[in-house]
Amino acid sequence: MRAPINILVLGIGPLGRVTAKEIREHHSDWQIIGHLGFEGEAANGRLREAIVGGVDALERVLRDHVVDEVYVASTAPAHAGAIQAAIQTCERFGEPFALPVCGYRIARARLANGRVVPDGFLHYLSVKPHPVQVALKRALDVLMAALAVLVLSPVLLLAALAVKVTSRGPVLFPQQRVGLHGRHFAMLKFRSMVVDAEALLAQLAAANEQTGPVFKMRRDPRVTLVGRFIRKFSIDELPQLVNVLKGDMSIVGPRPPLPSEVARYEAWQLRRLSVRPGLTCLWQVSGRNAVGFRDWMLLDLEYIDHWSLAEDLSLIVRTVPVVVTGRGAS
Amino acid sequence: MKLTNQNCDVALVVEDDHVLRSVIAAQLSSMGFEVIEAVDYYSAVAQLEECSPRLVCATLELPNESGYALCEYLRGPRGLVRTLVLVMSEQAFPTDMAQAEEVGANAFLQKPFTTSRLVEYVRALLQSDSGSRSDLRRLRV
Repeated sequence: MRAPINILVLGIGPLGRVTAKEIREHHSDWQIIGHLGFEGEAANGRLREAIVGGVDALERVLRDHVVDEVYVASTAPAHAGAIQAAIQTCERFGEPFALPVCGYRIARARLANGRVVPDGFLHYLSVKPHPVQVALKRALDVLMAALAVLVLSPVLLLAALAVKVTSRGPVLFPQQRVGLHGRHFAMLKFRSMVVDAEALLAQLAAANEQTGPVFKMRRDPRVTLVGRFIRKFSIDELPQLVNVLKGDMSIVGPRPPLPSEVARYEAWQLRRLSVRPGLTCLWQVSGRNAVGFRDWMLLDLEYIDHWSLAEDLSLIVRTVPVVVTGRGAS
Repeated sequence: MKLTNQNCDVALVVEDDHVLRSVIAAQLSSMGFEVIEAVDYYSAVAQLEECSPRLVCATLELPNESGYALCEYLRGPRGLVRTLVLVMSEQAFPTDMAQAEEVGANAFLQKPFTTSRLVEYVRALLQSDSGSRSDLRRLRV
């Protein structure tokens, strides 16, 4: 089942209410998570969804909730400053947003090309709008992941067996990660650590070799013998092909971060979450742990800002030697 | 056709398309309204000087001044705060509906519509009106 599209409506006046009503009527699978009110606006008691704060709370709401699109539902000149600030926040977060097409009373005149704005809103994306390439990317994701599962099934079975017989605990290690627009999902890995590894992390914090909110350590004592091997050749990541098939992930995209890492992200770093996360990205072919956190984030944004299907295919090809030689793996 | 009996439920239909106007008029008649008709802004204003309808069904795309202007006149200088106003238009972006509400319309019906949809809207208006005649801002459909 597809996850619902989450909408946030800025505005609690007539336009805010009508916008929410239109979205409800035309998109049964969308979900309005709430409204943020502009200063001086009154709701008049007819809003179906909750008012979760003022528009100045936009950044907090985008951090704390999964929002797929922000509808700016005001055309009042008095709100121009707040709307401009909201647009800036959306751009910084890589958040899609929609602006009302017109703030004037137009009775007789019609748009020369009405197809441009079928719903009365101008929709903006912070990623390049390539609908055909995006659809192709998803099709290729499913195709390649299915093919990879088939071709690599002997490796997958052997790895599963090795993990199971050499240490106590389950074969798979599902871990909460953050995906598209902040969605949490269980990212699958072959278990490469001892069972209570998460609890031991606090004791090892001082030994962190990566900068920023991420923990990386070359000789992590929590890693099992089999774990070390499957990590070296990234075999532990292969169960994520299932995440790709489920739609949580793509083959190529920024690595999905942990919720605790995202909590410490600066606003501009949250833009990493504006695309589906992936198995491999620019960072994976750039020496990985040798690259500092800030540069890693910049590499991900470079990938997002200059994305094309050809770049994806090139990254897949460039990932192969990195994986086969075990270069850059932790 | 002029009507001065203010105790009846009078409905004013303001629509320049004569076929649509008579269809709406016939429908409202069958719902029990005494229907008066106007083809444009000025004839509507003239009608409103003679009576205070309970319901006004006005199209936004009138040949001279717009339905928005009619709403403004009706709520402003004419002072009809309790009259239920249903506006009709081919273009129904959320911004258009919000603009109509700003000038005092109670409901917005997108054209083209079926007579059953018109009845549904008018009934909803009447129902919410009987619940709270004093607070027009709560009547919006």
